[in-house]
Amino acid sequence: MKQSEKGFTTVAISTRCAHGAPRSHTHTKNIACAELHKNATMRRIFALCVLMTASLLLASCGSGGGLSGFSAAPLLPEFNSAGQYSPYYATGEMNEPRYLHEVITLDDGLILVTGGSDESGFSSLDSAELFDQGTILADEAPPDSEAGTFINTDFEGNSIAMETGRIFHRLTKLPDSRILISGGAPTLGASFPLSQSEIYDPLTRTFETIESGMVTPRLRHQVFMPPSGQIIMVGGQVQSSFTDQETAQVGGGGFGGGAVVVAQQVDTFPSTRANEIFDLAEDEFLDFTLRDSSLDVELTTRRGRSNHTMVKVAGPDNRLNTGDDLFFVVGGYQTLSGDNAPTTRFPGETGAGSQNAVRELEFFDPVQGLFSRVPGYSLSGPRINFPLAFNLGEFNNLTLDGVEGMGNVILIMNGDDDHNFCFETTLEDEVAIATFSGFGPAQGLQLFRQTSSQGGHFQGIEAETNLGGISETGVRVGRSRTHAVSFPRVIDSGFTETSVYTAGGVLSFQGLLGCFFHVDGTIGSGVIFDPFFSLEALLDFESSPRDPTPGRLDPRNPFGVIGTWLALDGLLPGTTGAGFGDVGFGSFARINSGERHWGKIAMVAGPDGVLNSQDDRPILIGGGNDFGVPPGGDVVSPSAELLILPGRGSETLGN
Amino acid sequence: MMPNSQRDRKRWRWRLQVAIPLGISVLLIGLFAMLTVLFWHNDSPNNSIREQTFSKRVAKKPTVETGPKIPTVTIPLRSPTAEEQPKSTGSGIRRWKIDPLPTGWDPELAAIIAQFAEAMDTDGQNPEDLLKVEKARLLFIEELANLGPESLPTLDAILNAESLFMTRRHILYRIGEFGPESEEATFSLMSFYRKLHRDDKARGEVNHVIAAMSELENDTSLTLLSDMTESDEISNYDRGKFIEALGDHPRAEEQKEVFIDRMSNGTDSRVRNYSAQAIGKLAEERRESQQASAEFLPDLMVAFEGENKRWVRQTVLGSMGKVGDPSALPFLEEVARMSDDRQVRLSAANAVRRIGQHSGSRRAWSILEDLSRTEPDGEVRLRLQRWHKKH
Repeated sequence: MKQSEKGFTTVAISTRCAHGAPRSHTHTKNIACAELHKNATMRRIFALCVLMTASLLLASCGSGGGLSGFSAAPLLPEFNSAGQYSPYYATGEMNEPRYLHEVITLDDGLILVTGGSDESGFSSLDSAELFDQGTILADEAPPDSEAGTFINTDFEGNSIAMETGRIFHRLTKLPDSRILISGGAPTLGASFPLSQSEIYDPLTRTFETIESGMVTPRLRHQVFMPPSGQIIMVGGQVQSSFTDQETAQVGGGGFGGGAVVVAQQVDTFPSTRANEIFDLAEDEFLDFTLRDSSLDVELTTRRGRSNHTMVKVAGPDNRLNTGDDLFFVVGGYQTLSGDNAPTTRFPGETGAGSQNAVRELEFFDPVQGLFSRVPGYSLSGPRINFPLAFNLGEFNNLTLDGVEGMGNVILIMNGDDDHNFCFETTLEDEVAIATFSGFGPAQGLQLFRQTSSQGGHFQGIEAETNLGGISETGVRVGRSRTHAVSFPRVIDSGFTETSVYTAGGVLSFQGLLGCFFHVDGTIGSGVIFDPFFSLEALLDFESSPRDPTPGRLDPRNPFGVIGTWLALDGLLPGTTGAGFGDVGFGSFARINSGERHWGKIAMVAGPDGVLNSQDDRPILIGGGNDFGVPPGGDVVSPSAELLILPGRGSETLGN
Repeated sequence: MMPNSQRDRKRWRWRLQVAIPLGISVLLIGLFAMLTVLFWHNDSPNNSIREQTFSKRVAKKPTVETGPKIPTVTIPLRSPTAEEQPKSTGSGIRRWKIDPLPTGWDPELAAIIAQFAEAMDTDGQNPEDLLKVEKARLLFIEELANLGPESLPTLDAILNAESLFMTRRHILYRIGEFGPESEEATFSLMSFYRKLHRDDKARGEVNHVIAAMSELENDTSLTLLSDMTESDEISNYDRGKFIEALGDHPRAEEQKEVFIDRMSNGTDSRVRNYSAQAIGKLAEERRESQQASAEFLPDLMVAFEGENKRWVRQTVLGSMGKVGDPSALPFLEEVARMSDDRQVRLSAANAVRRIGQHSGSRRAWSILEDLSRTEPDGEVRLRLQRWHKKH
């Protein structure tokens, strides 16, 4: 298009349909319309001309002109011109960069980003935006980024906003593709949890407030959907008030003075064991009670649980996504009660740290309709502040003993003790395997911790060390205050396995000489958990360090899962271990932003436009430059970046 | 790097069990020693935020008795008395070390702001401290609200010297609010923008500077915002934000040609989107003051046809609905029937509905009724039926 001297458009109407689908042919009639447009007196005729042309143009759009599925992402190279693995791409920036927000991948492939803060949690954002990576066309003028754009307008061009700003809320995809936004609070300070929830409509990109308030307004809760279709809000923190009486001296100590009792209301935010359900049919929140009873279904922990995570695990039938799936509640903490409960939601509010962490796991059994404690298992360390748990059978296509899937293996990772002086990041991740004896409660559920001779699973294997070169044992890197995603990966033996990616966050620990914080280096390089790659096997010269063979190495490990965290160097080890540690010092890809604290990670479809396929890409969204308290600091730049995983770029040098 | 013999394996195990932990310990000791030296030699309150955060964490260790003194934070619930106020020494308040002081510098105001800034600048290791910060932040915003344009020189100098982003943020919004009474406020914010806009680490703050500029609402800001939309020196991201700010200016109507031009000719989709959105706002304002805005329709139609992004097309259609003129109905009906994109069809039908609401056009409702029967997508059809039923 060109611009006339007076700034009027001289029109060269696009020969493409919306979203870049090619038109069948070019319409030169548009030029005539342009000539009409130049003459102000002919504008009405011009409008008619455009209208007629529009009909022709729209009719000429092929089936690809509209887009009912995902946006096709551009193919991006993973290596730079110097041959170095350079897989992180800054996307177009968020319209409002943020941290402490929530993200969810929608059915149409866009990623919804809601709320959060850009002021250390002292205020929150009511805005929402959508990441769309399928917006770059070959003949379009170069944009700021070729890796996608954040959209912040609804179906009629208004800015997208929730009814209110939210932090520590939850996004839940409903069966009809809409998104439930529940709970949260306007600040991390003394503000009350929000009673009103909202529904996001992906068709109009608008929010609508649900009239029915939550039974118990809460934040830092979890939401899950058992096969019954119920939408259940689990735990979190609620508001509690009590009257504090204080004796105050008035009028001085002498004659005429005296003591008065001053009563003031104090608000605290204790964790809760109460749960509630969202009734989709009526769009209302109800108490969560036992079937045919008024008895509340509560968590088993005495003072409830907050800041926890949940994961679905195959039930006694050993098959994931069936009616007997169990829903595990992992990590988090329980606050003290009454006036000893926290008065804010800032990190460090637990104060004493690990003593408030909940190490026991519990699960919801949809057959019984109850929460029960997992017998004989407790976490190896406290996991507060974004603990995460993934089912390593989520994407597996393995068939073991005739059982499809591998839905009983859980990777539990990240988190810290939330100590307000020097928080300790829990270093080791743990892999836990559920088995069922068939006798006793929950069919004799038992959970085993799978360990290796290394004592656990270290993030940062293959990471550089300053002792020289690449270390096969790597450095022990745990992290907290960040996020992770699981995704399918086809390994060279043809199986699809569930991998997990994480980056950013912080490693903090109490050393001999003080409190130390690791905020970049390996933390910024990002790591992938490969469940079938065994560092032990590599060190023991086994011919196939990656081998999903049942029973290998550990009799308690019937699924072959050993697991190693691999830094991203452009080559993920294959079955033989080739590609392990092949690059030199300093060759690991690092995120562009340097740091990302309190950010989120999501998966987007790759060039094939299909989510949960081989070419999917993680996207790191938001985060702050400061992990401290108050959290976040200023927001990071770039506010989002895409990762092209090894072997998934336009140059497939990886395996 | 693969161990290839028993000896190699032992060597590797030795590395794992002894050499690596030992090496890390040596490094940590070295790091601590370096930091200690740094703390001894640098007690300036004007350190970067990162330095402050880190130093406070380490310095608060009970064993570090001889370390730097952490300033005691007191929340100024009232203005400090004359005795309490830090005295200007000619080099500015100690927190900022502003030298030379600008003409119009107000030492009393600076002392108050310094106290607020220090109250908000905490590591928050005690949760109670954070409640105090929360209170101090609200009081700071209140305090700023009481200031007039005469405080601009002081605020401007502090804005450029303050290390805590929270303090800067509220100052720059207050400067923006001076705009209707002070053209100088425009230059203050523009100068701050120029200082930051190439700094990759300041992207978030740059957004707030432009948002503060949208509060200026004065003559210079109208010209400035308009100029910035054409500047070659800024990113398209910023250009979009400037267009949004210009669209919020009370005299945005005078810049309608800028919006029309950027809507059709902008190379960046966000620029086009913000421009189309601004035209919608202009149309709504005109409608509220009973003025016609049908003159926008030809440009909106052209923009729609030239647009290849779904969401920008939807904004353009939304603006046509906001114009509210029935002359757009044939175009919108055509799009609502012919587009392959169900979301675009929905937006076109919504624009028809808006025209029905704004103009009372029976034709609009008749089209909507027909669309609600013929729309091929069930979800969209349901929505149209609901709209028609509400009518």
